[in-house]
Amino acid sequence: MAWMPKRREINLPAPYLKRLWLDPARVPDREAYPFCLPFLAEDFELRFERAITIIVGENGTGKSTLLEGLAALAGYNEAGGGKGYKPVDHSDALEVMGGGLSKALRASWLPKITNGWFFRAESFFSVARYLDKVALDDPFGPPPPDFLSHSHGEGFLRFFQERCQRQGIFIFDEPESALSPSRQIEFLKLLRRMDDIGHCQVIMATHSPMLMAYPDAKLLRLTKHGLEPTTLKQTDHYKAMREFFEDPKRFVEAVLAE
Amino acid sequence: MSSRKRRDTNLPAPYLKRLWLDPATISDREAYPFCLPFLSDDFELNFDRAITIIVGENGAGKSTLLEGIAALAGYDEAGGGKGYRPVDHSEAIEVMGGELAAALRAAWLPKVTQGWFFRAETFFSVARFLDATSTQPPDFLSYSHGEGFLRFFNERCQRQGIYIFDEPESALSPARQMEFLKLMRQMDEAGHCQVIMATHSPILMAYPNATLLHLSKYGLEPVSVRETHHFRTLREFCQDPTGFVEAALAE
Repeated sequence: MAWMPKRREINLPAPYLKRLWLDPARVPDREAYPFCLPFLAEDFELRFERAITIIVGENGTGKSTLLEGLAALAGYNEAGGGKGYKPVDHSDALEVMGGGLSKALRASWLPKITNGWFFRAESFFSVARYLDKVALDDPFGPPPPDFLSHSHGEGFLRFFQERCQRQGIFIFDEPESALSPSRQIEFLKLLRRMDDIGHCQVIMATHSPMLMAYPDAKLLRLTKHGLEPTTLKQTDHYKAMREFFEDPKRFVEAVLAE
Repeated sequence: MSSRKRRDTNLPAPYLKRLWLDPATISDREAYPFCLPFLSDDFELNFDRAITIIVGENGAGKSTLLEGIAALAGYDEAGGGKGYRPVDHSEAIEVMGGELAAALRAAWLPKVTQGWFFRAETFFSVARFLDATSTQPPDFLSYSHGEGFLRFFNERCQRQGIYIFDEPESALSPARQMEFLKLMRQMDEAGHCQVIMATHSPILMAYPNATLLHLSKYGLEPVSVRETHHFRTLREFCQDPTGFVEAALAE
């Protein structure tokens, strides 16, 4: 984009963050949040082998805390964001907890990359609603989008492509928020393009089976026992959805009868 | 909870019976939110049941409509007990919804102003607040992990009132969504809670006894879960995830 300053980019392919581990010596208080999170064992370690890493797990296991810690490690605060996009720039919204975690994390990079973005779920809301509003607001713009077709997602996709095509490390926390299934399909396409570019590392937490299904990604499950490789069909999320779609009525009745 | 005595009505929900647009009060038809395609001059919404669920593609105007209803109900800082300050976002009604409310008319029986407006952002805060403050490590594989969540909302949603939920599924795993279904059932059975909810989640849409409406540029119309775009897309995905994603990426 026009305003982007020239930067020297590295020709090495993603992933750039190769390994992440806990340094128990740096943990101030094992009993205090975030260090009391069960997954943070003394030998906690996470290796990145592919450009895209997807982390799944039940609410409360610590996915978001882990991503916040990663984002703080990457040094993100107000990282990027062009003129005119101020209302949707939430990249500075790192919480104290994630920052606290990062102090006890160690990382090996090849090379160290500090470009990129940290997209929290809240950013996705802002972006999705901002784009919807802009599309409707502009009397000289294109006609109101066709809300029933996939083409409605194009603006969304374009918006993220602008931000996600440069070399960098991109952290997405529950990007499915505020995304209808059609928009989630657009998001899969975005992941594919970032993957194909070869210089984008993506680390994403999600509850959406559709996003978990991105091929070529490393899918990890976070539990109190730590991180372990998993497959889409093994996840509780997929199993629950599948059961629901086999017989929605009975599924809901069974839940309500509990 | 601060339990000031209030006179409750014995009438059952729904309390907001009907909502319609008064075209005469619209200053500029071309400006947002009145340019939203669903807001035709004869826009009208009747509430027949305690629970009304609205579905529709992103951008159709679901959130604007909910904001308008919330502003009509007069919500600002409505409720919220001590110690829950970090998750009280009920005052965050946006200007757009307020503008819409100025052109909306409503029939109530009776007018109820208690309740909550839960935006998706509130759900994030609630979910994370509960996760961060839970004293015992939850059992991540059982549904019981959702109990704290359910209890939190039960405290807030058991009183007589009108409750507006905008995409409550955000930040909720399928297990938590099942807990949310149970919450809806409890509110429904209480008999004095009106719920108006927008969602993308087929699991939440499938709540029985609710009026399910589809919002499109043509307005609101009754729909069944199986007819929704969301249901059909996700079912297709679940039947063959690999084939579905390959096809989507090959487009």
